[in-house]
Amino acid sequence: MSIVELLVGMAIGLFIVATGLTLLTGNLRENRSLLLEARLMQDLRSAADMVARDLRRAGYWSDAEAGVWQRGASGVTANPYTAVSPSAAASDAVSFRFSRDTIENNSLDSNEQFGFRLRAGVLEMLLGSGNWQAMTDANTVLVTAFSVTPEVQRLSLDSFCAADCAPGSTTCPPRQQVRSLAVVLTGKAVADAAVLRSVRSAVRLRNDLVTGTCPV
Amino acid sequence: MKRLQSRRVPASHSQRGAVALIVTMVLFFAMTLVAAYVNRNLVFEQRVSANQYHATQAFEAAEAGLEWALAQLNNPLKLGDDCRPGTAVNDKSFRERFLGYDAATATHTPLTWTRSAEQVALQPTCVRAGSGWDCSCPSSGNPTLTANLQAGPAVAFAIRFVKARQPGALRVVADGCTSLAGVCLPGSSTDAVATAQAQQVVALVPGLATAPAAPLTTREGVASAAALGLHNTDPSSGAGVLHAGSAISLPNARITTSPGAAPSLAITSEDPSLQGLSANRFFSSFFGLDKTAWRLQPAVRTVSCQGVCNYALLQAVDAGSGASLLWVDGDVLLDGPLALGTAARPVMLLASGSIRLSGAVLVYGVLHGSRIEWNDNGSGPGLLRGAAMAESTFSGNGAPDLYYDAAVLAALKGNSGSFARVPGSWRDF
Repeated sequence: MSIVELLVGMAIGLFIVATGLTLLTGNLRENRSLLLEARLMQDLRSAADMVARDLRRAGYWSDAEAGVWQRGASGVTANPYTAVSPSAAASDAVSFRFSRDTIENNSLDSNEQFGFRLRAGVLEMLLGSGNWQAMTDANTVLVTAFSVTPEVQRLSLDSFCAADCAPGSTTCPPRQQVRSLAVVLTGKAVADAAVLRSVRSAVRLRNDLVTGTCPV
Repeated sequence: MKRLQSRRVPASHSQRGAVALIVTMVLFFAMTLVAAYVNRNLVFEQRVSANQYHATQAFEAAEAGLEWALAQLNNPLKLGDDCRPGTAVNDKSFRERFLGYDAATATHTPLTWTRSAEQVALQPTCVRAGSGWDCSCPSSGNPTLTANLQAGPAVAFAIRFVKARQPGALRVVADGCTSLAGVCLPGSSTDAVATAQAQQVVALVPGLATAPAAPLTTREGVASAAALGLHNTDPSSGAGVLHAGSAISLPNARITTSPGAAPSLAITSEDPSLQGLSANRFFSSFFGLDKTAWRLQPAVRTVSCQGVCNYALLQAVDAGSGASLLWVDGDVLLDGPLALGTAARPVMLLASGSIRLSGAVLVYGVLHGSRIEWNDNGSGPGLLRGAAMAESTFSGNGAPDLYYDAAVLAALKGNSGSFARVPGSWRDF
């Protein structure tokens, strides 16, 4: 082996090693950001899924049959779980209720109140009254925005009343509120502020709200 | 020769390149493994998205099941075993296929079938096929369905009915699956990748909300010189035979009321509470809805007819099963002899115009029109078992017998009309 052979071999070898190292560092960098994005997306998506799934149940009442008017009865029991806030303007917190009683007690227990809110970059969930639990990890995800925008359609139930409503009445005729909420969740990775992702979901509340009464 | 042999390349020397090839391939394989290991998070993400896809499919199938069940419950047409409109003798409406009705308590009970001495609920089941659903509505036994996998993902749902606590209400439970298996195919032993359940209570909005108190109720007067028969011996209704808002003239009427009571006491005329009602409120005081809302109920069939309406109405009654809720825009002309409805399958015939009947028309159920006129055409006297309501007057030269039939009216109140969702009853847990 001559010196020329050695020099040429080393030159080619170094060139190949340099190219390989460049590729490797590029790959590592890409892989890191991919991992960050995937983790961020995964965290946001699971949080948004949970929000949507829970919101959909809002207003569930295990004794809903008692809300059906029976002919001859004087009135019906009101659903104690219908309240959902926000009801009009967009908000960064949402609260709602649904029944978890095995045997309905028709009263709002502490474990039947739910909510989501944004506090210091963490999405929190209300479990029982006053007990907020973090849903996202502050070490990996910084939630920058959480907004809930209600959209309410009111249907008049005038045709179900046997008598005319008094003019100017606000509770007559009864109205059915078809409620849906647009939920937007935006967050960025703590390790890299450039990684920003947003998840949107539209939740149609399955349990409509009926307000007002027919004239007697 | 010797020189040639010495010049020949030795066998071992010629194979040296193969080792390089093998080494390169092993290195490449190792690199592939490293690449796959580095990208395992991508594989994980693929799995997560597949799970999400399956869960969403199952949930949407369950929701579709609820919608489908509600639509079918309100479908008055007779259905075959494939849940499509049928004309076979044994075909029944969806409601009669899966629900029993107890007249005494006015409750709906899910029907069952017997599997080796065990009562099993009957379950309608559907599977996605192309752009629609293939369904099975068994009248006994497990549903018979096969999935057509060529037409895309065979998402499926199965419906179960559960008796509710109140009369007129019913719980619908829909199970959705990613394939025709598990809970979505009753009787199968396989499992679907993902399942979801949604349930909802539905309650009956009856076709007849409040039964009238007399066989004949008119917002205005009644005038007939014929021997009109008015009969009500039902004490719970008060045994009234005529309830009118204006003056009446019935010189030759035949009146049957509760034994011992004076016939004149069974007639209420010039009642201000009737007179004070508008025609629309008169309607909604019986039917619980205004005319448009009643007519647009899914269970109501709108019949259009020119001239005599006998054929169109009979056809509409035959196409369905159970009580028939019929609406006619304009006037209705019925020529006797004609039999409309039976005691078991009463008819509600509501018209926006007048109802004119001639001769031997036999009706089980309720008639409601802007005006009712019953004339004689030589085919014999007419008969109504149920009740008749007119927004203005009742007149004519016929002598039909109008019987107040509490059983017919109770059946219309408890087992006709449309099921509607009860707010607050939806849940997926």
